[in-house]
Amino acid sequence: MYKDTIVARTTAEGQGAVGMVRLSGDQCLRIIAKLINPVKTELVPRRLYLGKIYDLKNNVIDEITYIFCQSPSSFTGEDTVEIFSHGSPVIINMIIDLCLSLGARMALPGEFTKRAFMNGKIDLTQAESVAELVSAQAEEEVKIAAQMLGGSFGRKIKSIREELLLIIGWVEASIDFPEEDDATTFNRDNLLGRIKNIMDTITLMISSYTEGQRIRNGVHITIAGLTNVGKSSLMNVLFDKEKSIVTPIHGTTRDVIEGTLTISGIRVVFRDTAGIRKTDCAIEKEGIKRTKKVLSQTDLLIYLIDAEKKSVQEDLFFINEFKDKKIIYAVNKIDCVNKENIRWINKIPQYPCFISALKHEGIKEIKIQVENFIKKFTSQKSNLGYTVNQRHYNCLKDGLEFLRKACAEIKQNVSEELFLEYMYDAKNRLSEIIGEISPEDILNSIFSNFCIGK
Amino acid sequence: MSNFIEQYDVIVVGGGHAGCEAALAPARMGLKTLMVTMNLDTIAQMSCNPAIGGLAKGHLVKEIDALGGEMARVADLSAIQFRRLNTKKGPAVWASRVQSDKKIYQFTMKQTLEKQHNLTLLQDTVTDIHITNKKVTGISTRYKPLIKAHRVIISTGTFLNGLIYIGKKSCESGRFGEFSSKRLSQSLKNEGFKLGRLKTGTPPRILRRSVDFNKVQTQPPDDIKIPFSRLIKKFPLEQIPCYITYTTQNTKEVIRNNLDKSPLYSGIIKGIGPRYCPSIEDKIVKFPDKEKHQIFIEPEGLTTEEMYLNGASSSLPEDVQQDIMRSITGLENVQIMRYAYGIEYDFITTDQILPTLETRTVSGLYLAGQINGTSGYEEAAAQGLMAGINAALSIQGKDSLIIKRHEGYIGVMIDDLIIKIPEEPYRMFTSRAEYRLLLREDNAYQRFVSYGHNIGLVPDKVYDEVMYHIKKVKTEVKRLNEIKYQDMTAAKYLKRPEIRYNDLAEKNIIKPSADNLNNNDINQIEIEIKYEGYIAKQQAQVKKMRKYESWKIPQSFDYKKVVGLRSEAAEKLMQNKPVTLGQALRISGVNPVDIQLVMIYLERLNRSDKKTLNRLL
Ligand SMILES: Cc1cc2nc3c(=O)[nH]c(=O)nc-3n(C[C@H](O)[C@H](O)[C@H](O)COP(=O)(O)OP(=O)(O)OC[C@H]3O[C@@H](n4cnc5c(N)ncnc54)[C@H](O)[C@@H]3O)c2cc1C
Ligand SMILES: Nc1nc2c(ncn2[C@@H]2O[C@H](COP(=O)(O)OP(=O)(O)O)[C@@H](O)[C@H]2O)c(=O)[nH]1
Ligand SMILES: [Mg+2]
Repeated sequence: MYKDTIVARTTAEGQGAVGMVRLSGDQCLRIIAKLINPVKTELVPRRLYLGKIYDLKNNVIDEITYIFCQSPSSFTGEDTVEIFSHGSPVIINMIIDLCLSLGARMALPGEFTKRAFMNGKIDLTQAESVAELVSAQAEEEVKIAAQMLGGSFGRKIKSIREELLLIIGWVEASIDFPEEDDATTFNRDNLLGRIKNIMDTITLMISSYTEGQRIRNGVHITIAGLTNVGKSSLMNVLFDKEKSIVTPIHGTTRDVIEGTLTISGIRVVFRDTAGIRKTDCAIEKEGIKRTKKVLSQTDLLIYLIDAEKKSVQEDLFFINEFKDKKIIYAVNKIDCVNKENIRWINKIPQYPCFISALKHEGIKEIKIQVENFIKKFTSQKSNLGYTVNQRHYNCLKDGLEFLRKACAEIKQNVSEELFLEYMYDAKNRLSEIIGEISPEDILNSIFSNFCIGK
Repeated sequence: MSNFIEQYDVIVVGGGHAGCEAALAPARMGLKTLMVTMNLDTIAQMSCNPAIGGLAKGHLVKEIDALGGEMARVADLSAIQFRRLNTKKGPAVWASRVQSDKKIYQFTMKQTLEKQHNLTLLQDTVTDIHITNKKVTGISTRYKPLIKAHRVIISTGTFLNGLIYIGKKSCESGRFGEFSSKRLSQSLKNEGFKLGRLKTGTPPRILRRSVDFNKVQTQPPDDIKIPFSRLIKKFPLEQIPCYITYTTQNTKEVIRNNLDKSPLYSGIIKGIGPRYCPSIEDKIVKFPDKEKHQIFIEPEGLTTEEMYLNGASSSLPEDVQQDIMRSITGLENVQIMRYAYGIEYDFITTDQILPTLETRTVSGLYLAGQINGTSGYEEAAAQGLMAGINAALSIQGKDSLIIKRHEGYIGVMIDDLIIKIPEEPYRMFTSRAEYRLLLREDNAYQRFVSYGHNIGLVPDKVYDEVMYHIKKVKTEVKRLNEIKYQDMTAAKYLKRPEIRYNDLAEKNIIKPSADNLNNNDINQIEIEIKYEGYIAKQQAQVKKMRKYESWKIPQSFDYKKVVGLRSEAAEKLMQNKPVTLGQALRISGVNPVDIQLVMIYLERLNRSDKKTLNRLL
């Protein structure tokens, strides 16, 4: 009866040391076979395995451990896989996204418990507490939905839905009232234009997800520069004490050190990189590649240059590679050199801060610049007025895909009742964000917009 | 007077489109049936437009035929113009429509009823329904205090408390020139039924020779004419055209200057009219920017000079109507023979019926047609048929027949009615059917013939024939999927939009089929192959919903006991009393989480107390 496989994160929202994602249903094994590498063909139930998770482009997302529980000896009574990853919400969300793309469905609130009950794993007397649990979460959802409806995101979704209803109604009218002069003035180019507008809006919303995601996960700042310029020293200065504060968390690239500070109320993650070096060509490329990868998740770069350097040619080479990033330049070891004697200052794209990590000089200047950046960063985001969470993001992404399919069919001159299927899919998926609507809405849209009826 | 009390298995009250099917089905299923109707000469009268079929309605007519109903056959025998609509679109939304000779329709139906074994016709007015211990026992009429019956089907159309308006003048009437049913309406109210009020209207009828045909467009019949019914091979009557014309600037002015004389715009009529059938006043008021509105001029029959002005219904006074009609191109000198009128009437709110169309509170009492808040002959006939079938099946002690949403428009309609009390007269549209691609005119027999055959309304010969065709189509589709052509199969090649089935043999890609395939078979082969992806997609959706559709909710289920169920959802569920979880899910204001909660309780009931549950169901 419950054939579909569901997935959800089972550890609380937010940053934790570990994250847990649970999959339950018939398709578990099939999904993890594609998700985790290496996966044993014959998994022994209740044994902890080690593996890596790759994204669709074959990049390692995380190294994880996982346990398989076989039906009926699992919490839900179905085949279940529990995946333990690192606690970063980004990683957990990526894992869930992958499961969804491999055919799982996002679990409803309390659904694991409900399945446990349905499959006889929980005693009947517990039914009430299950119901309470589900409803508590549902209430939370309703509250959130209500808040959303009032918010600008909700309004935006509502207006997209209205527009979709309008154009679906338009096409439906041409089907149900083929003899009406009004309804039959249906025009494919015009329709495509209107769908395109909706798609643009959705695309914008999707990009706000990535941005919103960052605010929720904190602002990421990376300290980069050649080796031995004092990056690690700066990191330690920023975190006041050595080591004890720079908590080493092994990220995907192993040689990245992370530390978290709260600045202006925002979580800020600092990363210290291993440093880039221009020795021979191959390694140089590898270094850039690796640093770039870290930088792809970075909002701000602090680029350190050694004041003692005679030339900055090597630095300029790298700076050029990262020129699309927001960068704060800092010249370190200013305790060794007189500022006036540095010849290359005007070759740097931007006037730098002068600091000494050793002597704790100029650090305030860097902090002010970082603070200014964060203020700008967050205020710029709040201009959008909303941020999109993962559930919304999934709905938006699917909605967009359905609209894309509809457009393709409209262009290929596919008949109305067929391409409408995709428009309904899109409408349903988007409506999920703020609660379902009934088919009656389509008729309302027809009748209020077309003069119909013989 | 003898005190012999007549006794029937089934009594049908009202001989409209619903009543005719409701009476024929049980009689054909071998039950002693009586139809009581006010006037035998108005049996199966078309109160409004002289046409059967059209979008979604044509689908209903085909479904009625496949189940062994009568409407399709009578429509074919009285057809004076056949058209297939939407041929530029895909086959799921092709729809057949005929203009009918109204009188021939009526009398063909009347004679069918008269000839029907087991069926008695009586001209009389039913005044009361007898109910003892929540069970129907019979009826009283104006002339007979009691006729007993095991089952009673009420199909009294617009007659319950009917009130007709022309301008601000009104009179009690069920249809123009006919009595309304006041006593019966009151009797139902006394039995505790909740009534609602709706409104509809009809345009004027005009004299053919007062139309200037030089100024209007002609709309000819289609060249290829395909009857609705399997039993009719060819339309017997002459095929004639309709005409199209338009309102003018002048029409707008006349209407704007006289709006105060409308019973609707001055607020006298309170019932809600259908938005898909707006009066000419409505069109002008709601769409002021539209320059002109289309009007169809349709013949009412071959042996009458009356014509029907489709699109010009109105509830303005006679003199204003005359001015309006004369402002229409080609109608400058038109003579109105019957004026347009509006009608308000009672209906029984649909939260009181079950999917069998039996009432929830009175066992053995069924409702069908406009009394359930629908509008349209086809909608009425389909309900009549289902009520008749289910009344008969229940007497025979057999399982009831409930068509599901993915099986047919009939299922969609009845399900819609149960989920939601109509706020305007309910009409079928293809957009109401979420599995529209599966519910086509061409496959109505595939969908229904087994049902029709099982209950005994479809003869073996027809059933065998349909089965034979189904098999031929299946075999040929399989063959096309096996024949290789270049780097694909013949079936894949046929998927190309420009390729038709007949091209395959012509291009020597396949050998001609050994089976003798007719046009309908070929059509179905093409549909099955060309739309495979879409059809599969909808079938997958059906499958997904099936789990909910099969969860029955007992009638006495107490939603208040469900811990945590939102009060809004509980209210909606208690009001609409869904019969399955699937229906519950379709009720607006009820969300999937609510359904989860109800499901948990049902499962709990199921586990702890199977016996109680079975008793409740
Ligand atoms: C003015 C008007 C305009 C309409 N316009 C449209 C339209 O534009 N489009 C559309 O699709 N449909 C329209 N209809 C509706 C269409 O006519 C009906 O939906 C359809 O005929 C309903 O069928 P029925 O069998 O339920 O009832 P009806 O066809 O109304 O038949 C009811 C029958 O019951 C009999 N009866 C009533 N009371 C009693 C009693 N107490 N005892 C015995 N017999 C009784 C009557 O004599 C009548 O024969 C219109 C109807 C009217 C009256
Ligand atoms: N004189 C001076 N030496 C510094 C300063 N900052 C770092 N150093 C020294 O430079 C060397 C490299 O420092 P480190 O932080 O490891 O550089 P990284 O390789 O960029 O991380 C160490 O010996 C530090 O003590 C500074 O501000 N002044
Ligand atoms: Mg270092």
